[in-house]
Amino acid sequence: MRILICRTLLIYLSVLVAMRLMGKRQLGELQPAELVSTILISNLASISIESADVPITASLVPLFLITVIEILDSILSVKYPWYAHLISGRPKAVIRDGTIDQGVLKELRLSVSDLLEALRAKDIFDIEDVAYAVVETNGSVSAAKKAERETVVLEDLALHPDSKKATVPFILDGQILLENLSYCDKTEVWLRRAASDRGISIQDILVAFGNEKEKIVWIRKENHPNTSDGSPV
Amino acid sequence: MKRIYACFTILAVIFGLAVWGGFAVRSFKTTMEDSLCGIAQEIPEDAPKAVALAEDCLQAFRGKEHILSIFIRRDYLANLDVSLCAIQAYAAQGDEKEAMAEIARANSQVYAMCHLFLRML
Repeated sequence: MRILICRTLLIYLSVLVAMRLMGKRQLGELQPAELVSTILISNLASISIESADVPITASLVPLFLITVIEILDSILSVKYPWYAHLISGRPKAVIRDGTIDQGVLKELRLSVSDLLEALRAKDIFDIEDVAYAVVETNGSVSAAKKAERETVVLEDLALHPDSKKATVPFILDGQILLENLSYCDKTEVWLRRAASDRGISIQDILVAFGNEKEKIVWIRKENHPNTSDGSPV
Repeated sequence: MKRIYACFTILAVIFGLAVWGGFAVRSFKTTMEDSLCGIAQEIPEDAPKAVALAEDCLQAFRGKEHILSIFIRRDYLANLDVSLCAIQAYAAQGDEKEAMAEIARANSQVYAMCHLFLRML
């Protein structure tokens, strides 16, 4: 039993280290090479946990070798575009000016209903609204609408937003996020004063968010004795 | 770019482990083959000496078992351990035929074990 516990911990930590080394690319939508390494790693990790007879190196050596290959692969892909094209393929345009390129669709072995489904996921229900759509190397569909079908934004209406910066959390679960405060040109002292003006302790706050304006939205922790209903203060 | 250093470090560790493993397994193979050959020669001539050699062989194997288990499946090592114990027991009883059969079995196990580790494909 001890061997199982030790091996599980070791394999868990090793896979975690490997995934961290491979970086955030591995956590999003996967390119073909990343998918291959992820599938292999998940299988390799289980080998020496499942069978105590198998030496731990039977999992660890291939695991870290795949990590190395994956890192080298990503470095080469960034450095040499031809290598990236070779490994991951190229994005393919499937819709141009509202017209489906059926040849490309056939080449990709993608049905029209697959394409329509991907477009619907992007809130596009009419192919004629699409100026340009491509199937990315990871299989997802990206689409740009025709200019006349684009959503109206403030700039189109010559309106200027009140706030130039994004609304970000200043406090999360009682912890002040100094980086976000600094992004909005605010200080911790200012935040603490704002909290004390409202009679709230920082530790009692579940989330507080704002931007460069003075207004902050406070939400208290529900189970705190000082809180009545947990609604925004 | 720090990852590339991690990458080369991992490669160096894997390479080092492979070289060390290869060396350890080869040296184990030579030791075991020599010992088993020595036991086989002594069994018909000097049974007590053969028993002592078998004991030495078993102790040498057990001394290296923890290192070998890093590279070789434990069930293979356990089978070899059983064979080595059997050689010693048959040699002590004076059962020459059984002892020689166990020696052949142990030799074949050592060969298979090392072949599995050292082969390329």
